[in-house]
Amino acid sequence: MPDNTTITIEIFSVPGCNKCGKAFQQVKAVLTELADESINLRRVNIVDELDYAVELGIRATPGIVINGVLVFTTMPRTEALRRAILSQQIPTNQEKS
Amino acid sequence: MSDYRIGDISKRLGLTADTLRYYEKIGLLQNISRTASGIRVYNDKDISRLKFIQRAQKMNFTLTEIKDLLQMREDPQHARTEVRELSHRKLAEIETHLQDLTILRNELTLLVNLCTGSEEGCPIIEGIEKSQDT
Repeated sequence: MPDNTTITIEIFSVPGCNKCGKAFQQVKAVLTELADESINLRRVNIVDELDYAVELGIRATPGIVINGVLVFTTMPRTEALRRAILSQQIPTNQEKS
Repeated sequence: MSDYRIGDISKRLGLTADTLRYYEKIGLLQNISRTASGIRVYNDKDISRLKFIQRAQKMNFTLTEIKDLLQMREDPQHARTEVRELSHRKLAEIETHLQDLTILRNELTLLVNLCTGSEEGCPIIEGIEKSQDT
């Protein structure tokens, strides 16, 4: 489970799902752009973690979960993805002042 | 309120005539009226009770439990304490059953969607095999 200082993004996919691969690459690209080391990215094979996927409300692929919450149930637009990630980020002291 | 013969009820609810007579004998059905020639006549309320019995049986309630629950159904305000307690227990069982069913439905929905979206065959079989291993 993510702690308060990190963001965990999980891409729920299944082998053979083209959209899942694209979603993963899309998230990776946004993370590269944000260059935030506190963000962890994990690809989850639904068949391996079926109970976890069902618990989170995943009903189809790809599913994008941010900090334990299902945020996207299909491939999001890059801007929507960026906004969703940024909304989870904790402002630094400099940003707060 | 309509009247029905035993054959009508059998066809409608898929219960045999013997079963209907047995339910009457053990008190699950009460006050079934008769024609002058002694033929049983059922009404809509009896059908409602029979549907309740069928639903309760699907939940594996015993006939004794169902008989008590029917008392509660007939007159909830004056039901005996034991019958009220039984109703509470059965309600809790149903809630648990519903939760299990919901999880199962969600899991199967996901697997079916994976199956239609995957280009490498259907992962349903693999998913089921893995869950059976655990």
